[in-house]
Amino acid sequence: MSRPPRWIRRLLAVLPARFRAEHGEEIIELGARYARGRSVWGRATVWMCVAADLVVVGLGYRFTRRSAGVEERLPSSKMPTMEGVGRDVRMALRSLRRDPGFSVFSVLIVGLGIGASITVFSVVQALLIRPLPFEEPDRLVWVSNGDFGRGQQLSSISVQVGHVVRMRADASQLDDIAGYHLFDRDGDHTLVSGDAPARVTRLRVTGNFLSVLGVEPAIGRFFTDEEAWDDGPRAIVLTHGSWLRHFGGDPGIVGSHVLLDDASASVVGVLPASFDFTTIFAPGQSIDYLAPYPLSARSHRSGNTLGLIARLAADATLASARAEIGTFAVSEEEAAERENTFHPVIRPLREHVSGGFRPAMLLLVGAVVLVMLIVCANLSTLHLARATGRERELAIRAAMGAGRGRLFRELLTETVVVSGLGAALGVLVAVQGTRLLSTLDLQIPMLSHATVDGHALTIAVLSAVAVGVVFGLAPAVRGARLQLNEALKEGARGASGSRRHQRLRHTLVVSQVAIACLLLVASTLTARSMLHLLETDLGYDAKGAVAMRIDPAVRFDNDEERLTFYGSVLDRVGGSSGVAAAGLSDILPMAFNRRWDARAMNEDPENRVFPYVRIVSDGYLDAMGLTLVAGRDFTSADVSGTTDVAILNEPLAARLWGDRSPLGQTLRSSGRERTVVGVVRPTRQLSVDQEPGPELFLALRQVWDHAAVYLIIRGERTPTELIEVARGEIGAIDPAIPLDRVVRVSEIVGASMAPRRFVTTLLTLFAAFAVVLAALGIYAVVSYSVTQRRHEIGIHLALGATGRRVRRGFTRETLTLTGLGLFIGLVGAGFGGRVLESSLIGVTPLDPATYVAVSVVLLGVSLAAAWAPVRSASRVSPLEVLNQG
Amino acid sequence: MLRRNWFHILLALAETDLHGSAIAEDVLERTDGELRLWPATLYRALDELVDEGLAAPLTGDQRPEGESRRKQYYSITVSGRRRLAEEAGRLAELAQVAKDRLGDAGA
Repeated sequence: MSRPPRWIRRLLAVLPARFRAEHGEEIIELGARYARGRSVWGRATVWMCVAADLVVVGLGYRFTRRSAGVEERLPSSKMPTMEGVGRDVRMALRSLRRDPGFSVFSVLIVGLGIGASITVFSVVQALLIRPLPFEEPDRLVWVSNGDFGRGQQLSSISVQVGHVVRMRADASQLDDIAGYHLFDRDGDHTLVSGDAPARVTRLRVTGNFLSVLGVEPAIGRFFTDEEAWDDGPRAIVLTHGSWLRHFGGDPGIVGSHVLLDDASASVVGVLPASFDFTTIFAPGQSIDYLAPYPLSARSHRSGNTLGLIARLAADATLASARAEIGTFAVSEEEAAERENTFHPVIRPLREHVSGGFRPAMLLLVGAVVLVMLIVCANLSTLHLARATGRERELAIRAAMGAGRGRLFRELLTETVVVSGLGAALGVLVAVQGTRLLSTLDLQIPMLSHATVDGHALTIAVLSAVAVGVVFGLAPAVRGARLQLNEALKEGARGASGSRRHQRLRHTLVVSQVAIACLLLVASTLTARSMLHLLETDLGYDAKGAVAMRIDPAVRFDNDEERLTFYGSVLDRVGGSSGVAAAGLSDILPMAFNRRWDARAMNEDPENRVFPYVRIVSDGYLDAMGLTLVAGRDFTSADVSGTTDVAILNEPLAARLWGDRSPLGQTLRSSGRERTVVGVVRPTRQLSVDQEPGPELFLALRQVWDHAAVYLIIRGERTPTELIEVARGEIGAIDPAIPLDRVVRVSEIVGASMAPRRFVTTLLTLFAAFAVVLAALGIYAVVSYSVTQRRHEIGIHLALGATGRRVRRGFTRETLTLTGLGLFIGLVGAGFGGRVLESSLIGVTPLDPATYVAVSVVLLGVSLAAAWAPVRSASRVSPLEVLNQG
Repeated sequence: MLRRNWFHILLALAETDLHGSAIAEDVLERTDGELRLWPATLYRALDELVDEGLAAPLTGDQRPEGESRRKQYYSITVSGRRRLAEEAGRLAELAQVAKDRLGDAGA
């Protein structure tokens, strides 16, 4: 026979006295009978069920006034009447008003806790739970080329057109495959609507793009086959946002022609507002219109260009599609030698979009669960202390005939009212918090869709009730079971009754410290990772450099004029006083990336590398602060017609030539041979937390594969002054050249770390909240303990004990509790640290410095929290106390 | 209409006087493990049945021979039997309706 656990007997206390006396033993016995012959887990499950049953029945009795015993039984209704509930709530509110400090604190604590929970839930829901705004989004998959993990490298995940065409024809497990061009860049096109030309961003998509996603244009139609083919009639479909921005939401625009890049194009449709491409696929950017991208021989020659979205066939599964496309890729490998490689990786679209944020989101969920636990423990502590203060009140009322069930219900109503008010506050906090988060440009997909919805409100209500019951149960049971004589006797303080509950209070405090410790460790570790990243050597100097986009395409028809313009910009801006260096590049760090193939001439032709390609002018290396380790920078003499030159970074040089010097060697990239003239140190161009990959720099004056360029300036002056200098000089050359997207390079780097900073900030806030609550808990318990033992202290002092000795006693108590909590928290953190491991950088989950720092902080905080009550203990006046006794 | 728990408890008592655990086991067996009466729920239901006059606790000398003194035995009252019979009739009617309809559907 399995022995019933001891706590289950204690839990019998939730039952009314008479019921417990009559059936208590048999209840335990039946539980034991159910538990008999089961495994350890089976037994635990049975006892948990028995416990839940006890609580439900016990509360049922309390609320239905059938607690017999003291109160007379009301004959009819089993449910509490609305009238009764209303009265209870009114009583509770009155009682709470009598103690406004306590009430405000409690409501605030619950409010912040629930607010944090709902906010995190709303974000998690937007990212991981709510379906993508497409038809049957579960059937959509993302087909990428190779899997390069988190920092998606566009050229290496994109697919060449030829593969797509054959895959569409062959694949039976995929209904259809659509794609979009991954290299369309921000503001590369000019749209004339009305008088002023506007810079707009294009997204080229395959003709079946909308039908694969299951989206209908809001107005008009999508592209016809003719429009979606080489040299077809120029047609565009506006996004909803750009339709409002550029055409004032005029439905008449559909069917008319607009001037796009100096040529006429017809607007054939407008996308629905719900189709928000950028928040899903390219957070932080904006798209103005869709244009067709033909799957033709011509587009095939552009190499890897497409990101692919496919819809699974009706009877297909992810596994069957993977198998089929895997086989297809093998046959492609054998058949098409001259093509770019295709290593298909198929995963659910949802995973592609937000899967990378899953660990961070789960971390936040874990953190808010801890926050809610500490909120409950804290309120329990506060409430218990308060209930003790009200012992006399309760005892007198009990003596005057208020039944135990009645008192229990009142006390519980009080806590439920507190948590209800807290929940209301929490909803406000969450609505504001979620709104704030959704407007921040954190580069997290779908974050801008996060809202507090019905689900979130349900959670708020449920957690309010749960919090109310959890933190109210202990004080309510205790309050209702109060012994009259015990409470009325002044001298009974600190007697066995209080001792019994001392353990409960201590347990609560220890658990608060432990939770605070867990959160503090987690937030410290992530913050240290963040700091580590901030100190990471990027390979270039983000500080002191500003960048702006200049767009000569609108002014010059031919390359010669543009070249001249670039030359004068570099001369004039670079020559201005206070400007140390100026350079041009078609790409800024942390954003767009593209890879071309490269191999060493006269070496193994199989050794092909795909470096990131930057097209830069002379002066760029200095302006960005890159370090040249060998050879030379580009010069103004590196123009077309002379030897094509290239600069490599060290990893690329090592991959192509090993230990030999690459200077003077020839490499072949995108069909041209180039002589290596320089080698630079590697840089973190893609993201701060990614190791640098191979990089290839080509001379801007020799390569024309770009539209607008960025001017990067570095100098002794402030960024604002630098920008003014550039504006002035470029205006002097040609006032009509558009100059936009002015930004500090450090801002770009900062923005790339926004998601990580977001998680770190939230965790830090949670940890701070937890530490404050733990401090409050310690304060409450120590001051309670001091109040309880005033009499005892008075006697000690009268008998000659020094104030110091009294203080030492309480300090020891505080340190013991904190130490125990710390120990549990640190051990927990040690085991739980693995959860964090994947998101930590430059610090291990068991980082000793963090553990020491957290311990010191929590010990310090607890001593500070205990200071005031401990000091008051040593100031007890013996005379006063003894006179009272 | 009789609550499900009440119905099963009365059904158990209809055969013989039983104490709580024995009722729970009888119900568990009869429903093939479908209905497990958790202890507090069971005893509350028994209290309610007693209150409603459908079952009665046995006093000491009414206990079956040789049975534990410690456990409270219950027996079904006359009105308890009547309510149980009513419920059985109701269920039978329902079952008949179900049979008829299924018969129609099959034909």
